[in-house]
Amino acid sequence: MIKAESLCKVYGTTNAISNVSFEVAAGEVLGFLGPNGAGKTTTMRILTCFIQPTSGWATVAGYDVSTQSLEVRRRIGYQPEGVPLYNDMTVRSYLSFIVSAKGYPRSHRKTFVADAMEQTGLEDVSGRLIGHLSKGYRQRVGLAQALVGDPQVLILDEPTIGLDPQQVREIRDLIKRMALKRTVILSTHILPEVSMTCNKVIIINQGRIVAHGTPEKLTSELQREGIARVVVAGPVEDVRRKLDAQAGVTAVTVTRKLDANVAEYEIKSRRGLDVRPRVAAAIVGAGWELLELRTEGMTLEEIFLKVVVSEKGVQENAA
Amino acid sequence: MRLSLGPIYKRELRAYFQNPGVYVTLAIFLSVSGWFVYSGLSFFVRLCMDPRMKYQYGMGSLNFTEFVVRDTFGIISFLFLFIIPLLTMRLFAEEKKSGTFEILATCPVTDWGLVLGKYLSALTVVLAILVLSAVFPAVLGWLGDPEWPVVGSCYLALFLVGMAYAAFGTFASTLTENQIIAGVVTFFGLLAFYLIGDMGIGGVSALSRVFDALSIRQHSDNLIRGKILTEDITYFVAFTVGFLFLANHVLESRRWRV
Repeated sequence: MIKAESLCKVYGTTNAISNVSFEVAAGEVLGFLGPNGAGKTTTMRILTCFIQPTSGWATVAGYDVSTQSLEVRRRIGYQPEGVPLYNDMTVRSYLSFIVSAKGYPRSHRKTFVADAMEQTGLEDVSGRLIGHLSKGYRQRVGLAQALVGDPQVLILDEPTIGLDPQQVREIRDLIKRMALKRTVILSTHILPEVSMTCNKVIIINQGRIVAHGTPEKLTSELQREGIARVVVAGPVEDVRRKLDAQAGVTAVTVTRKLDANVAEYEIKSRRGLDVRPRVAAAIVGAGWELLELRTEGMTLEEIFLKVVVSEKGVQENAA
Repeated sequence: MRLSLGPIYKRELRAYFQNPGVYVTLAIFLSVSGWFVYSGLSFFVRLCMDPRMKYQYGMGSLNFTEFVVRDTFGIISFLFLFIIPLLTMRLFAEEKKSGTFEILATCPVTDWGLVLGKYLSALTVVLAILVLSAVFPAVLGWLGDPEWPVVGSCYLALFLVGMAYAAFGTFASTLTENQIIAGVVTFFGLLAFYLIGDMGIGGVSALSRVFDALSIRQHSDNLIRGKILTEDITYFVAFTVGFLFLANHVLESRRWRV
């Protein structure tokens, strides 16, 4: 549905993005993840034909963003960063303006506006001025604006920024529902958002793609070691030593003392090795009580920090 | 190619008529020009009643059209210099500042559609001003007997001047996201075009002829005197098209600017 090939955008002497290539299949939800200023917005602006790439090309639904921009624009709904809206219009008149600006025939406008308001839960405020709405409602108007007229592709720049947790959850659910029959690209610098809403992630830093894949794939690929946590009732020092002695275990630390004789241990092991059976057998064999045992994947947050920080290290070494 | 400027035009026009500032501007414009019409009329009346004054000003005969009508329209066209920047300054600057421009520009509307939609909405407000200002010729017709063809030519002048000023204002508004700057640029830019004819005054050099040719006042004065020349009409049309063209180019430049 969307294809980008070696996109570059140069502003003066800085590369906003360089060599960004990716592909999004129909029905996928792609999350752009990166610190502020990483090039997320620039990439989205290129896909929405707001700016043109310095080099490289991109297509949306088979149309080139540089040469067939009107065709591309007909097929996308875009919510720019910061949810810009006309404060002096009512929700309904604003949405019908957007529908008409998108070029839909007059006969469809009412239905499209009603659909968009229903999907985003805006019926109750349809006659209110946008300037008088709360932030959560404004965000919904922004989403309604993007999805009015049922475009094939939605591009959302930071759709949940600045909302309270309850509103964030509402917007996320909304995006998930919208994603059922559309292709969605969203950007964020909030990590849980990506693992909750996206089935594909691109981590972008300083204008370059530094990691790419499903959240699960990123987790397994970038994880350098396995981590297991156990809670054991037994003499702490003895348990620690016993665990450390197991084959494949690289380090054991006591992370929490829950009681005089009960503690939580973090066991690090070599990558791709599951030490759980051995650990369990050892503990039970020693006559201690095994209260809890679980493995821990690396969270996206850790991956993100790792990727972004190691990037920095590489660049500093190069310089 | 379809420009699809209709929705833009309609929204913009509604924004104008929902904006209290526009009404204030119109009210001030009408009172100020009303005051000028009144003072022009009373001066004419004193001239008529006092023969000494008449000779002092070197007038053999008194012509109502020449004295009152022409002054009235001259003043109105001068006031446009102050009014029109106030009307056009927000057109693009406001949207660029609030970010709504990004939504507009990613709708399937060409840049020409944006420029013309917004420009035509401003021009519609200018037409509304012209309609409102018809109260002055109505009063003049009631009090005296103006030559109506000259009044018609004056209206043509006002329309052409308004058309050109609005185009310049639209262009200035694309340059910045600060409305005040857009307004100031429009005012001083137009003032320069208004006054440039005076720079070569009395001269017959090529340069002063160029200044004359560029001057808004030179061209509108002919029309206000009742002299309709193709070259004057061409000037205003070219001025308008030129600045709309530039406005379109400024909008397009966002795509490739570094």
